[in-house]
Amino acid sequence: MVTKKYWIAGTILVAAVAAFMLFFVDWEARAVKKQLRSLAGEMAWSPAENQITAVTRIKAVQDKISETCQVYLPSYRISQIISRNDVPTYLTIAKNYYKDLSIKFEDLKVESIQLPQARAITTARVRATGIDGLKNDEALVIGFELRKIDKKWQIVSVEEKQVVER
Amino acid sequence: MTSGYFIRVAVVAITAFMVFKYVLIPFRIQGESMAPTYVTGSFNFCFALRYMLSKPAPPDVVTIRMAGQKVMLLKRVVAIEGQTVEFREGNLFLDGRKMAEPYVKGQCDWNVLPVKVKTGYVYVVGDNRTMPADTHTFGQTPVSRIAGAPLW
Repeated sequence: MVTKKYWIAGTILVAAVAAFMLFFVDWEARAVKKQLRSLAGEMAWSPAENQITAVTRIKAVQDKISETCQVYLPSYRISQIISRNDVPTYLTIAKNYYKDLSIKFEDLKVESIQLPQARAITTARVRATGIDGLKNDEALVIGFELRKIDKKWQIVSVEEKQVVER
Repeated sequence: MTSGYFIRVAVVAITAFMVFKYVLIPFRIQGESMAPTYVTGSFNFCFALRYMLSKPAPPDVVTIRMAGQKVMLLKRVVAIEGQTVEFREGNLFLDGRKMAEPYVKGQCDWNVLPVKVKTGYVYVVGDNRTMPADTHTFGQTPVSRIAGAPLW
């Protein structure tokens, strides 16, 4: 039989956990990280990927991008503002260039959150195989700017940070 | 098992965590840019206290922090702040003088225009110069980005 003191101890424990979650967990930072990790997951494909999966994936990437997004990736000779509607075109071009691709975000950190904006930085580990069979395995430091629109964090800028400069 | 046993286990676990998180950070080398000195797949530790009392200087091999310490670059320091670095037909020139680089093996045909290393920066490059300069990550990096040096 559960005695009264166990009930009290249990209640205090639950209250302590709830208080910790409420005051010490940065839920917005978690949401930003979740959105970016999800983006990395959607930016992956293999030759075996079927059309339906590809369309679903592209739609998921589109949902994470704001109406316009500034992309600056000098390693890939990209510096332009892309529209959300252009995402399928760019991903199709990328898929024609790389037969498989995977991106993993390491050391993902939210640098600042000032609602409705947030900044995050990560080391993107990009592994890809070109259509010519050449393997590409590189790490880039990427900075993201996000804006909270309709309760969803959307990416407004992607910028490669220089670790070494020539 | 006594409470003393659990305390000893806890102390060992915490010490190991602190040492391998902040002092000797284990890492696995991936990539060929430091071959043949360091080959892909080999294991090492980043000694994070290496530059506590000194500054990186040629020909030190250093680990360079990216967004954090899970993925780092492994490169060799070839020049420090104020020096002018240049590659001519694969040879390294510092302030106009040709430098001997016994750690570089294989043919190299790099040509890189002279660049002066900024204050607070060092110039880093990999030992594998057989790869084209376009595909090799090298150049100036802030000293503050240097996380440490490989233990061996």
